[in-house]
Amino acid sequence: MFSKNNKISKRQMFRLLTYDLLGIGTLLLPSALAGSAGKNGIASIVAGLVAGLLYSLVIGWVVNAMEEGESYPACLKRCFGKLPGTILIFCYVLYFVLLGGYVSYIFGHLIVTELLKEQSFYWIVAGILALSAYAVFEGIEGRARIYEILFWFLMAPLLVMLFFAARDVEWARLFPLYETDMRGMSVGSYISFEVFSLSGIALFLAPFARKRTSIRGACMGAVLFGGLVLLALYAVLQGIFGSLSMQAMEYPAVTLMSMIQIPGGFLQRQDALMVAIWFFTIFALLSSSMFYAAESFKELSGGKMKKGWVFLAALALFGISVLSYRSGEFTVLLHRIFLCAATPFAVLIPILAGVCMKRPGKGKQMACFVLALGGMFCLSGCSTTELENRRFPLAMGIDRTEDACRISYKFQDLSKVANENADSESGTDFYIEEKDFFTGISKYANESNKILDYNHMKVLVLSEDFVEDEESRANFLDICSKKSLIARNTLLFFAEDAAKILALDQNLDTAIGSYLEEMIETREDYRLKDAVTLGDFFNDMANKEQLLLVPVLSEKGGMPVIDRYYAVAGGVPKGEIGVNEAVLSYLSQGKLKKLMFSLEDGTAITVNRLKVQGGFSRGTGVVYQDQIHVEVVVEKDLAAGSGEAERIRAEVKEWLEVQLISRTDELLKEPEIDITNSFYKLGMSDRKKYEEYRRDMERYVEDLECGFEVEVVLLNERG
Amino acid sequence: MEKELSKNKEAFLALLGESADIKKKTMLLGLNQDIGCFIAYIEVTGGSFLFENSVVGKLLNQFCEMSGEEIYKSLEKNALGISDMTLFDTIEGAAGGMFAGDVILFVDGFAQAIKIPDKGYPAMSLQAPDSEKVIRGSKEGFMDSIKVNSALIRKRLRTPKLKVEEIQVGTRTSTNVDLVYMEDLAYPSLLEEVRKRLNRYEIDGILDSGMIEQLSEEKWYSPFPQFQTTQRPDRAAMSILEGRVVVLVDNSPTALILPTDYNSFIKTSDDMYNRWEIASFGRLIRYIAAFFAMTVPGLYLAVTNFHTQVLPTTLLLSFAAARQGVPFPAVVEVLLMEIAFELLREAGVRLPGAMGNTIGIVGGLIIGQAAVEANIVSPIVVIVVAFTALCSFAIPNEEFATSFRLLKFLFIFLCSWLGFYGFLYGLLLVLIHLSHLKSFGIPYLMPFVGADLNQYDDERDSLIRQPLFLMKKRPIYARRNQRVRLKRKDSDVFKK
Repeated sequence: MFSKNNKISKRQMFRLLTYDLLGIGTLLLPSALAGSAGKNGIASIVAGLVAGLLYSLVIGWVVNAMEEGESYPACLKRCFGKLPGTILIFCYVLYFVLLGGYVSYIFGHLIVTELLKEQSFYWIVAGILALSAYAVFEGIEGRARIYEILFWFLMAPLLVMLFFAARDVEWARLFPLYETDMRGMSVGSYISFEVFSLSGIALFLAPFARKRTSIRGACMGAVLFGGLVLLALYAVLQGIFGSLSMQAMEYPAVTLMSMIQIPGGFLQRQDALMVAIWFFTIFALLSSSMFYAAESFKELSGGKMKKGWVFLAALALFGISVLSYRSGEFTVLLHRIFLCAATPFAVLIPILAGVCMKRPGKGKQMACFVLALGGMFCLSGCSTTELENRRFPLAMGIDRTEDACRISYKFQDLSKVANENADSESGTDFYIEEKDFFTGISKYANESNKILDYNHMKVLVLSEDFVEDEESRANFLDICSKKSLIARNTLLFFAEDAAKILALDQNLDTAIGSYLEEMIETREDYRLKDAVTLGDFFNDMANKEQLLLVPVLSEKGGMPVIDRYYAVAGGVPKGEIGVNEAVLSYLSQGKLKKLMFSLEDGTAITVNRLKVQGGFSRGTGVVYQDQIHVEVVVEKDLAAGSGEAERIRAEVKEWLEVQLISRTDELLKEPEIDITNSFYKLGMSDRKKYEEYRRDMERYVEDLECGFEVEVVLLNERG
Repeated sequence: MEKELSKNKEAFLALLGESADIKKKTMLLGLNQDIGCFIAYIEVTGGSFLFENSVVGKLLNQFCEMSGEEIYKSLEKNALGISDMTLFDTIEGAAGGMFAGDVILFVDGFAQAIKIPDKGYPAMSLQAPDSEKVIRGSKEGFMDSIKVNSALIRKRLRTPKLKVEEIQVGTRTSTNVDLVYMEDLAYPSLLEEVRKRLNRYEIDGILDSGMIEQLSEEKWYSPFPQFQTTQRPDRAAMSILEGRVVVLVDNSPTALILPTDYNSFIKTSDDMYNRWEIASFGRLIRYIAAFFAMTVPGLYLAVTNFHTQVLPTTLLLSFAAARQGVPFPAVVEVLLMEIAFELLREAGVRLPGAMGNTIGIVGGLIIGQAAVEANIVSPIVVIVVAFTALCSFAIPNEEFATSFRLLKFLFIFLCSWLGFYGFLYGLLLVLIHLSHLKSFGIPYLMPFVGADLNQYDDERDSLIRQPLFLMKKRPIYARRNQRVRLKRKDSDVFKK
């Protein structure tokens, strides 16, 4: 009566198309781009976006040339003739079935990997296809309303999460923008465009649009908005993970969500909740594919059996997704089909249709040409686990014994949580000793009546022997990344004997996991901006271009303390360094939040704010110069311009510079560590040298010369 | 009808048969007591006719002082000035008039029956509506009499454009149903559709507006009401001003408003009477309450059984500690508490007022404290269920709140089976259903969807209720050329 049935507004079209682009784009594009274009990913997205915008213009041109009320399949028949048109419509059916099938496979895979690890993939896909069929049954209007209403409910959290994640971005990881050759960049751009070409769905919106002329605007808006979100997401992912680490991940965006810490501590991890974004966005593309496949089927059959085609499309989608799930080869084949055939088809046909409409009479020849070209292409080419049946290890230790891997767990005693005065031991322990990490963690289930839930593990302590043993380390990294076993934001420590450190729990008034977490947060002498996490370890082992300093725990008076650091440089364990050296390293990298020390005369100095700007000098050698701006508070009153203030300023500057220069030089010689962590910044200033040294990191350390210039501002100087 | 009284009386009595509550009297009228008459009425609807203040009594007294000819003339021309006197040509019509609560008079030599209003059926006096309490605004509520109800609306809308259209539904009850609308605002096609739906079924009886509602709704399987109900005349009047149609049903204190949408169920009457910030805040709270009323128990199950990583560690450990020793799985625990709550609610509604209050105390003490102490349920589940109950009470419309209470069980089932995926699945299912739902052609999710149909003006009264002076247009229900409802009188002064 009031709403025009099956007509949608420009806002609804924009939101529908944005969802179609963003779901698969945010989920799959980052790792695909990291693999093909690396740091060129950002430029690739920009190139893809420009191409996508041009494609939107083509879509607008074609839609505006169509007759009033005419559908795109009908237009194809009119332009190319009945038989070639029918063949093209059939190709579109195939396109939507493959796209929808692939998307439902991704959907099912995402759910079984991120939300319901032991549920049946088949039931999940069948369930979502049934829901999609229900949504499709009542036409496009209902679907458009869903996305109209959901748009900001999903986009706002995504943008907020990106905002919080941006704080952890290491900008140097975004540069150089041209890391690989032009081929990588071209492939990346094409892959990006592949995502934006999904906006071609807008062609099918013509008979449903309240105003046909608004399709172009909606389409361009969706491509632009989607492109900007993808750009922001890729930049954040690149800045946090680095391209090598990212390409090893299945869904980097979801992994990112597990690491972001929202201020306030209301939620421990958001990944499970944020999967909602992909749940709805992928569902949008899935139901679109089903809808247009059914519409095209209907056009082929001359408008008969409206609802039957939806069932047929759902069945076809289910078949494709099951094939993709069961056969990796089929998934690869699907990728190739989309890359080599489907995307060119989706772009070429509208252009030819547009040309035909502008130049009537040429349709049949063009159709023959397209079909011949197409032919040539073808020739070439849930289980529930109750809360009380889970155990939550707050800390885990892994040691390498002579021929085995020993895993120790530290649990929270729940009776103590329920009643603070309960008379029981502070924690409970469990040890497993097996030949490797995987066998060890699998064994727990056999020896205990409960399931291990690693989601609240605060601390992971690895023994140095374990880290230095390449086989053990590789097994651990592989299992952790593939099974998403331990959260990436778990704090990482090394120790000589991890089990011994965990056993100190009995001397503490709180669980050792919480104790170590609080210790990092509240240290008096120095405090880091960010603690070292398992995610950092993963990233650096994959990217192999940075320095990671992991705190080493030892026992002192029955309490765990950090009395040295372990350096992992370029993905290679290098050995221990002292706390002072580690602090200087963090200072030179600008990662310190607070530093306290005293001068020779006993004057206490507190560094409260720190800015570091590092750069390489131009020339033949590799000379890295750090400009460090520190704002310090002296624990006594100083008159401005007084001799005392000048003396302290000079002493602090000298103390820092001398310390930095001497310790940096010493460590560059033995154990060949660059504590300034300068290599990954080299790409920003000299791409050629970066590429050259990347193949030989040892030579980089040999050739490197470091200089420091410290500027000191006294904050409590009174004028 | 015949002129002879005996024949009319015979036919009338034959139609009525024997019924103890129908009073029938034969009398003689006229100066010479030579004109027979027959009077019939339902026992309580007529008073003592000799009493001076009774209309029928006065009429009979007058007739006793007139000649036969004068009586016939005054009946034909209603010369005695009885405002609601009606003449019936058929015996069936006369019987219908009597069942409507009036007195029926047959006069010998007069070929029509006369309906004269007297006391009518007994009814309650005006009361404040129980289910839609407001802090600010009228305290009057609808009552059982359709005439009073339409008068209460008329009292607020004193314009000749307000039309009341009466039809009768129910072959045995002949219930009066009034369509009340503003002639120049309501779409004629909407009125046509309403009439069509009211006449869609032939039913023996309509005893409340709820029966009309169920017979006229588009999607019978939807848990969401497709008609809005109200017991407040001011609410009904406000809806009529928006171009909507109000359906009043005799013997029902609940009026139906149509078309409706999701947003209308969340609004309260005093949203318009309060300042915009307070009204908007209240509305936002109610939206959140509606969401939580449906999802909180499910979310609790999804998080504790599947996605423990979401909760902060200390909170999670408290949950785990609280669950120790509870013999049932969490889902059974939640269901037990939810069913206990529904029992309490049902018992509270059915029990007399004073006893109903004690149910809350008994429930709180026994089900809550004792069950926790006996380790039958964990304290956190009591909190979850209590919070959900609070949320459902915050929804201003009872029928609408009930749909969320029902869907809550769907979410409990889905989340206990499929965790957060089940939650998302349920959410999408509900959203798809709502996006397909329409009330007389209006999308149920208006104005969050399809707001372009009214140039996005309806969004001014959605999640946020904008200041009243900005809400210049009527919502989409009103005719397109009649959408302006507010303009400044001194706009010319401002232009200068």
